[in-house]
Amino acid sequence: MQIIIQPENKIENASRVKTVMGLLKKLGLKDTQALVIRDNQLLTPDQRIYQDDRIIVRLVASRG
Amino acid sequence: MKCTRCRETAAVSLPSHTAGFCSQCFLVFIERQIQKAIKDKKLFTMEDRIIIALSGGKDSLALAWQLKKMGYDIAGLHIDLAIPQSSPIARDHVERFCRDRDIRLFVLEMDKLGMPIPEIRKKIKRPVCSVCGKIKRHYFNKFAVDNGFTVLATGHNLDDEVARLLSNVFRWDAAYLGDQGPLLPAENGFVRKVKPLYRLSEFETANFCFIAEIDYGFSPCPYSKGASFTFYKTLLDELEQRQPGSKLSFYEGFLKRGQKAFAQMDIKEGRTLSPCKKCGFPTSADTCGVCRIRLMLENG
Repeated sequence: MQIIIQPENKIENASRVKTVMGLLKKLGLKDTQALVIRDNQLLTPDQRIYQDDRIIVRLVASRG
Repeated sequence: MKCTRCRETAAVSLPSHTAGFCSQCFLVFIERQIQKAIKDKKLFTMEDRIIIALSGGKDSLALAWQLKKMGYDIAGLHIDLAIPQSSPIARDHVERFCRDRDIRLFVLEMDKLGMPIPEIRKKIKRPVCSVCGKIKRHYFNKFAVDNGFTVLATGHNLDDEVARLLSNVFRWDAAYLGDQGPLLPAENGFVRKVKPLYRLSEFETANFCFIAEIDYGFSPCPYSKGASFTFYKTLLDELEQRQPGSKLSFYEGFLKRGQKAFAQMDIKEGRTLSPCKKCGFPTSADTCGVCRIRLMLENG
């Protein structure tokens, strides 16, 4: 699955990840440190994600 | 996960409130949190003329969106810091946001005021963030006072406030601890300053902007890398993950049981303010920090 990490728009690929929580863990993030977006919809940590998904992970911390 | 209010599929999970919300109910949640902050802390009323400091980031735009929706008398003030990598992007977001939402906007250009941040950064030996903050606070206050606004509102959120509190506690800085809170009353040449988002985390304001379709600036300031508040925020995120709700509880506890004691201590230690001999604005020295920076730039 393709992961776009914002604000840098860095693209990563993730495999063998089944839930939003699993994806965040794989990226080293806590569940309140990023929005996870698929098809312009917000996803909660319990939701399933699939191999052909295109997911945006938008970090929330402001940096000046 | 189901929405705590309507049982539809949730879009946002909030462990700190042991709740989840669908998009529409989340907007209700946000409005209620802001209403509670305004009411509990008596931040302002419908009669106040409110100027909102707009950086172009998610928090200040979210605040303007919500206060406009609630019918308050608001206008926006943006300070263009003249930082080539980030200022044009931030200003563009603010200008588009205000135009689309019919919010009156004022812009102060630091270049034209003789205080471009990149030039200041070249001249000083310490990190520019504290100087930049000082300049912004000075001009926000001056603009509000000079133009008859009764309230200056900023988009500081719970994460900002708790990181600042932790930093002040580590230094046991009584003066800063005594001043910290969502309301600073008008006095000694300072307009009333308020932080209506103090109950909301960055995660909540980011979700709010997404749902309300607020297009905010992601572009971070190129000079803020390694800022100490970012480190404190990371530490506090770890704590919040293990004990959801601890940030709000820490901050509310301080406001209820700590802040007044530090404010009293500061009065006893006798910090007095008098007008700056250059610009007339309140300062604890002969010449205020902003005028000292201006003199430094003029003297090369």
